[in-house]
Amino acid sequence: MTTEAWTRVAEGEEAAIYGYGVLTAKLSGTDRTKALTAADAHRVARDRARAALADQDLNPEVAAAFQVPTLTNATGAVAVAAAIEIRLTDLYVVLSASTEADERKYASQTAQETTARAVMWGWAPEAFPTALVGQEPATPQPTAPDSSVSSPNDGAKLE
Amino acid sequence: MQHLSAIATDLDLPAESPPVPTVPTNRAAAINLLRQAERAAARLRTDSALAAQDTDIVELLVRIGASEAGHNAYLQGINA
Repeated sequence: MTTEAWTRVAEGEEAAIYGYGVLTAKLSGTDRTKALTAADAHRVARDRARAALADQDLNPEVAAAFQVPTLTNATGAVAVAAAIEIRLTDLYVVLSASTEADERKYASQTAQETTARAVMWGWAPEAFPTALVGQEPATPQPTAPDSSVSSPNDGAKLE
Repeated sequence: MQHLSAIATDLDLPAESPPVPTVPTNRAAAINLLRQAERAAARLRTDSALAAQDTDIVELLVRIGASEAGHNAYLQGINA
């Protein structure tokens, strides 16, 4: 179960990086800066998840591209950013219950960070933050690999 | 306190009065105090989650901590 939870976190963080790569293009000024900072945080978290899996001699395949909702303006981009973050909160909550000690502490603290970013993007604070209640998450979903698509993420080559 | 001592001499009353909570003098100070409380609560929730044995309780505590972190972010936004 721990492996599954870490794998889902790694996939979620990869999707977040991809999603921020797309949505940042619709933002400017302070919001753009916040999005770039958030993307950096997700790269660090993605690497942390990969390291946890590597410790178990695992290197799961991750989708090379993700389907992001069509974004026509900054408002839509901000909504997707909030949904990305709150979806990750769910994944870290599950991870916290699948781990112990330092890993659980990390999962708990990261769930707090993702929720704080979701609220920063306009997600209404709620008693039990989750993407699974009240609305469908509009987070990036994996798509079939397409070598003709250039990646908006951190420069990783698509395969 | 003096009144209680006078009418209930058998009560085991504390020697000193409890600390008086800090009363913020303006809106920004009040929000800052709330933010401090939310951060402290979130940290406490992580500590409790670390000590919990039942996975349902762990999830609940982590989600509550996340909620408190969200409150802190919200308060930061309205205090900006």
